[in-house]
Amino acid sequence: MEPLSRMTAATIDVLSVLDASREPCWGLLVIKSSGRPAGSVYPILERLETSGWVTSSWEEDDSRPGPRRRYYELTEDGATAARAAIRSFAAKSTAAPKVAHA
Amino acid sequence: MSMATVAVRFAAWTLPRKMRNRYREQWLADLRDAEEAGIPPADIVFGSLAFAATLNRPLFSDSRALDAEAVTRRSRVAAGLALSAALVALTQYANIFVGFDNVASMYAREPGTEILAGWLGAYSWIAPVAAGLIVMVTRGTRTGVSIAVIALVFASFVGEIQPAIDRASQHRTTMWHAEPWIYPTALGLVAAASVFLWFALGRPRQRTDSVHGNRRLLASSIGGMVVLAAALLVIAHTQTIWETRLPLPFGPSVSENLSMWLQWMELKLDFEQLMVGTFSVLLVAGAVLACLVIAVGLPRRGTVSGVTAAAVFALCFLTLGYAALLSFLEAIWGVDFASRPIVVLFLVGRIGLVAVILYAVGGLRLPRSLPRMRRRPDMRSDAELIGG
Repeated sequence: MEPLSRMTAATIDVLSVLDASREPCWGLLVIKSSGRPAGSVYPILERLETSGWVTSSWEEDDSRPGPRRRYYELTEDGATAARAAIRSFAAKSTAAPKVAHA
Repeated sequence: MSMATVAVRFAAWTLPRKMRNRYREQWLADLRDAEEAGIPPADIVFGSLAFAATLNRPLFSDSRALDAEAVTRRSRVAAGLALSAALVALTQYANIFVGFDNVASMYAREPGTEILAGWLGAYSWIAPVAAGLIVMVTRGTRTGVSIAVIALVFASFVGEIQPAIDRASQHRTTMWHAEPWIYPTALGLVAAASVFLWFALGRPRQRTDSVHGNRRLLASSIGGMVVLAAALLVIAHTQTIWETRLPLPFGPSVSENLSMWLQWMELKLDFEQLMVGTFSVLLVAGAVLACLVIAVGLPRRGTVSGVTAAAVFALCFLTLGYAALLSFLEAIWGVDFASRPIVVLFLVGRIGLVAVILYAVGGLRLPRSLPRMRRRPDMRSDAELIGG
């Protein structure tokens, strides 16, 4: 697993959705739950998959004809790193207003 | 098929080969089920296009591992295009100005000048053909390409030497003064092709990191396209001249001289016309054979041999017997239609040369021959089966 070169708010939102899901999550649901546009989420998921934070697989439901859905889930190391990144980002977000008021 | 589906398919098509099928299926599934997820289909469309546009590709970023095989193949295609374009451009002007049968040598005052002009003409078409064969035999290796480039660079100077010979023999070549851009352009084309070829394949082993690989691919691709585009422009220029049958401006037109000669002489089947006719039959037979080889699907070696033979024969024949061929055709079909077979020969020769070179550098793949089915000893023959 490789560390991400940059950690944006959109990336944190995607990681939060994947971390909160107990099972593999459909890509469209990640888009819906994160509140981010597909143009942001698709590249983020691809980066996460390339870096080894996330794995993806095709759905196993043969009852739905046509193209298959793609499901994403955090790897074991990715889950640990994702939680650390979310905590770190949250800490920075809460720390900033304090600095401003100081 | 909706516009959204078309857009998503287009976005997937722009992706690298290894990603194409996966994302096409994924995005089509998302598009189909967007309503179920409560997402506008337009968001999926824009998302797929944004993904394709912002994807880290080897050409623009070194964040992704480089597909060495793809880069090598694309570099070879670009190098093949550059080399073939340079050869086509060079043979064009070699045909007109420097051949054993060229008009300038006819007016040479000194015997030594005429012999030199002839040998230069021979080298001008031997060198490009040899360069192509060298690349083909060596399969595009660095050494082979370097040798081919050196031969091509020297051959390019022939176009500059020939006018100097003409001036030395007190014959002014009107084409040179009327269109002086021809020789510098031809020289520039070959020089540009040489630079890009050397940069792409001829240099000593470079670092194989993605940045240098990307620059080499970019330089060779751009160089190949520029040289090929210029060569196509030059070819169009030549074909325009021959199709309109404009007289060559360096003196009385070739067709006018030949017409006067034919009127003065009695038309008969002399040795020259017999040779031209024989060559024409051989050329047509070779071209037909090459087409049959390709259509039937014989082994690649046979296909390449046929195409090579047709291309080289066409170019050599045109270079050596251009005026004789023209006189023969004019005698049979008249002045108006005599140039058309020559145009066809030019196209056959040059396109064939391009195809051969592209195959030689590994950019053009031909189908393998079908494997022969071996009969096992215990298998019955068709006759046995039919006879029961």
